[in-house]
Amino acid sequence: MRGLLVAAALALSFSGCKPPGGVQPATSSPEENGLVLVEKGQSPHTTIVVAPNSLATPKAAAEELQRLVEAATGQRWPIAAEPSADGVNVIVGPHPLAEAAGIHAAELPNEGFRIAVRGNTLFIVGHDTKGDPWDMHWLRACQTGTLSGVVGFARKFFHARWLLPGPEGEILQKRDRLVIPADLDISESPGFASRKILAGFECQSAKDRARFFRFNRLGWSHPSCYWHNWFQTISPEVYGKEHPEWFALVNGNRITRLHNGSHGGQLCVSNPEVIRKMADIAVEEFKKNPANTVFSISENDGGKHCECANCRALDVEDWHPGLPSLSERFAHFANAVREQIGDRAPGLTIGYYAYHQGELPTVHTRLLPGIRVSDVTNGYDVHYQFPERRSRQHKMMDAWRRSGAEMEMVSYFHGMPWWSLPTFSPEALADLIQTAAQYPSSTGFWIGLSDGAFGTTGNEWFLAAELLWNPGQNVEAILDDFYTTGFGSAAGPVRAYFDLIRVSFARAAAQLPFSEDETHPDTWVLPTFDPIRAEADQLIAQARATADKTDDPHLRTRIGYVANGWEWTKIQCDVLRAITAYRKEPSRNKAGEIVELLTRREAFIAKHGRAGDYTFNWLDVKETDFGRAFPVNRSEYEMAYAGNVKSVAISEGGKPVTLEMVENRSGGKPIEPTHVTVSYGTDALHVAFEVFDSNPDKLLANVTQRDGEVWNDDSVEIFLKPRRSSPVCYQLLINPAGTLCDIRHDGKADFGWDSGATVTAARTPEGWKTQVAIPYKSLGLNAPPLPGDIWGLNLTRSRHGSGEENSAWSPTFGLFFRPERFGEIVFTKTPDAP
Amino acid sequence: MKPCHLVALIFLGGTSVHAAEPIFRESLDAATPEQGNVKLLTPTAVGDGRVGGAVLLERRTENLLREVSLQSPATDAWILLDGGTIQQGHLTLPEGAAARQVIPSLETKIAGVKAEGIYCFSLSARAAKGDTARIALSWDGAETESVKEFTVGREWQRIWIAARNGAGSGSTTVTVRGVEGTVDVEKPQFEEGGTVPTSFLDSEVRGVSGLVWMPEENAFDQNKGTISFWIKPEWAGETMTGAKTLFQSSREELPDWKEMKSVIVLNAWLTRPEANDWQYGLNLRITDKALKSTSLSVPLHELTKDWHHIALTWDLSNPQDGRAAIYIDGELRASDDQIHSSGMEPATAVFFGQGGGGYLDGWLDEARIYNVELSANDVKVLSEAKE
Repeated sequence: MRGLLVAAALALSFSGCKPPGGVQPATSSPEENGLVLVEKGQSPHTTIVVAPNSLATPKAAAEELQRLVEAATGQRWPIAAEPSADGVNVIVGPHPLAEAAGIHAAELPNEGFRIAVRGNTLFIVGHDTKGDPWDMHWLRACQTGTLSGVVGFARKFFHARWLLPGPEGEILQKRDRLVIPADLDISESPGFASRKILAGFECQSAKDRARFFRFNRLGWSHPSCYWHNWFQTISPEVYGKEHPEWFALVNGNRITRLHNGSHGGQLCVSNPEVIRKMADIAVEEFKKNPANTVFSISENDGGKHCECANCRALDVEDWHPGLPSLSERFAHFANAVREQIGDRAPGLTIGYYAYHQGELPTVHTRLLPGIRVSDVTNGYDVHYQFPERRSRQHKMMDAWRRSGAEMEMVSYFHGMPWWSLPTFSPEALADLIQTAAQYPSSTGFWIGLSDGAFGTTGNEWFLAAELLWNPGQNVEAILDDFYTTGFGSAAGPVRAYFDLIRVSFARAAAQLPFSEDETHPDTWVLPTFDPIRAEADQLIAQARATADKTDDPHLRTRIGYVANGWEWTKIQCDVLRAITAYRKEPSRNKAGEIVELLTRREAFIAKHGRAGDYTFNWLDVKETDFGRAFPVNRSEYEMAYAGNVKSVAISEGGKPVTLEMVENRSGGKPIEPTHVTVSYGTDALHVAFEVFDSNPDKLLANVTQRDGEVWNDDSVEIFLKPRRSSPVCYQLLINPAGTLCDIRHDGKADFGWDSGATVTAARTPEGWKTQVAIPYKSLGLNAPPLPGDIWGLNLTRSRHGSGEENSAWSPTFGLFFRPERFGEIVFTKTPDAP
Repeated sequence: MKPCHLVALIFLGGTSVHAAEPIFRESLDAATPEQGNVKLLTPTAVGDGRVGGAVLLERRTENLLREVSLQSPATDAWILLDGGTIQQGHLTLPEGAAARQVIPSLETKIAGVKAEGIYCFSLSARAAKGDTARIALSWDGAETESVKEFTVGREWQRIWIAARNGAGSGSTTVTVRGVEGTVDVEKPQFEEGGTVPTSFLDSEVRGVSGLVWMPEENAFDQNKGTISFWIKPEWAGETMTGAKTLFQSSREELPDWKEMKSVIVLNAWLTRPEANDWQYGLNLRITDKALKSTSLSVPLHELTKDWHHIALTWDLSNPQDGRAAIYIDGELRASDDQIHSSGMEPATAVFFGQGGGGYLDGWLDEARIYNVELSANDVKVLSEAKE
């Protein structure tokens, strides 16, 4: 595969994807006719020269060159605006002398550079654009070819590498002699026009991150961002009232509202007015900000798409059974917008996400020039262990290429979200990047890997960065470079440790049933790490022993990150195992064990989860816990261990009991309180909610249809389980409009069940309130509960309008529907009864 | 495991019981042990034994019902429905009447006891009028719906219903209902940890019980010997999880099961009555000093709630040719004469009626230990209890 790639790369020449390398002269012996820059620790008179009118990048590059040379050789070369008449000049950035020497910056490819020697002058010249080289904002980031040239110089002559942010990660060889071949003439330019490695959450400063990215040659020749954008351009909140027909028709209704601020509210893309409006907005934005050469027309994140006859007529196949592929209608929309824009915005590209229901290549529609799709390849490394998944990926990329689209690849690689664990699959990563590199229309690659997780995935990060710059490189050579540079004499055990994971992960992944579901990857964790635990412990111990013997503090730190990354992995595995066992068969003892494990986990995160510690990305971990509804909340297990079950005793005809809700994730005090009273009569159970909201005017109560998606509105819920030996539960949801959704759960959710409940609801100055009477007979009971009867009960609330918050009487620490977390109603004797 | 020989064997060798003196003997006629280094921990009762007196040894437990006294008709805990009354120290339930009690937050006060999740609701009942009556016990909070009906006569009898708890640590409700005729009920008990109830406990917690002997070093060799005792098991004919530990001798007081070297344990396993193996039987396990184990089992289908003599004999002096046997009521029920063993170290902790978390839950009498392997005839004599 790699042999073919190298041959293909040399044979191809393309606008977006460049072949690696450049002019490589035969190297003559430096002692014979080289340019001596440092000899026995001394420098001849050497000056770094930057043109006075340079952009910011050459100036920054010059400072970096000065710093790197001093670090490697001890020699500090001054920086000047004018070349010196004697000695050696090092010209950094575009300069009249470079032009005179035939080194023309304007002729260099985007972000490319050239390093050449002419007589006593060394030239490092790159293709730069205006801007701050350390600002990597998606819109403002500039081209920094000259900086890449300095990096290239340092890589070649000092074996400089940047393996992680900060001084711990900058490694270069010291030397007391530096002789540059007199005929040196190197050109390089990036393999992809856009090279990004970004995970979900940042855990170091923007400046540190920018420096790390630039030293690893990440960046982009043009801004590119294709975020979910319809809610910002044509929002139902703005246009929905006047133009409901612009919005998606779902189940016979036009959905003219957003959910959670940016979700839902999809467009009717076949509507000519929508197309015209979108094109006008694109032109308007481009005129306001011509530097932004990409305009996103991506759908909103989530929410059902239009079912009108015109939109459906554009769909030609299913994506999954019952779900149409939206690729054709999105492509049709993009072409139509493109045509509407016409020549009003020269240089503007429009782009959109092609993933999920839009991931399949188009069947009929060929995209017009000036349209770019993103997110093709949105898959995870566990999937790439399956040959059929790789094969499918290759076919997809090829088909999109034939559709005419420029492609910007996106791969979350480890899944979204994930626990910052060391999964090592270089074959999958290389295959992704190198296959994309084959296509001329591949403009870029965005890979989801955290730069804050050196301890667990530093090797994959380095590999990705190297391949994005030069896809034709040998993967094992890159990895060898990483280990030997980064770990010195510990390279052996560190490499063996990661290779142990590599093999075990491949084996575990191969035994998984193939699934596209991104929430399933947890099933690979224990099968990957459990079998290798003892051996990994030994290898890490060997690595640590090496660290103890070295007096290089940065080497010790890097080894420490890897060792701690393994420690984190074991902790996470133990917690996952314990919680899985608890979920299967809850017991007080297991709850106690989990509390102890979580204490360890929290202590680890407290110790290593801070900026400057690159063991793992703790922010990703926390978000993953939440995103997977992973019940790591200690309060839940402390409650189970202590045996605290919320209990309320009520008597027939007796005084109603008032209950308070707590914040559902933490068990703490909620921002907005909710009071509930419960009482029981001869025919029905009565529940009354008093729902406080500081912004009652923002209450969401859009659902009016019985059994509609009430959970998308501000709502309260009642969960009942009248027979504890039976799994049957009942759930009622009510919104401020009094709309009821009632569901019977018996292994599956039955929306057809009718609770027969009587519901009243009203808004109040403090929020809203609702009263519900649930007849016993709808719960399968022929008679009222007897004194001594105990039902499972939970009462919950979702707040959306004025902010997102979930509360519950008995906190579930995740999803509301968790019968094992129900509290109880105990029906007692009437107060006066004997 | 070597096959068990379920036939009578004629032993060559062995020692006459008249010539051998036990190295340990406890008649259990009273609650006070006769020897200095022997402890009798919290017997539930002292009563008539097979010979003289005997003691009742039961597991640690707690009556989780809030109110067990039925002296006063006015009660906060008991919910009386449809004509149930409390009078003269017991509940009276005519046909259709019921009494219920809610037990809030199932939580045992016994420190260190692992919550097994099995609970047993028991009480004594009799027909108040006529020859028989029917009564139903139920328990809301069990993993599966549990209702059981019983026919009771004029004499008091103990009845119970047991199940695995499904309510977690939440509340649970027990109900007793008169189904037919009128029933008197007393001594209600709700306890954790067994499908057969212990005897009625009207106070909070029953502690650890058992007969414990701490022999001097080398006093009990364990390479050969005989254990002899009488039991009257309360659980005969029932099934339950866990094991009833009848006897245990070991180097340490409570050895971890993974490290049980030089241990002799006799358990009654009552899990699967259809199993003709250790899962419903008496199981003798001898683990030598090299952690090698030998196991013998006797199915227990015929065991009744009457007095039974149990004897274990063994000789592991010959590493290649060891022997062990189990006798019930003087009859050889299982043996193995081809045991390979590295030998045993002397015991320093010996328990009757307790060991490894299991308890006899029955009556114990005439506990003896010999440091010789008695013959079948000798065992027969012991089982006739003439001395």
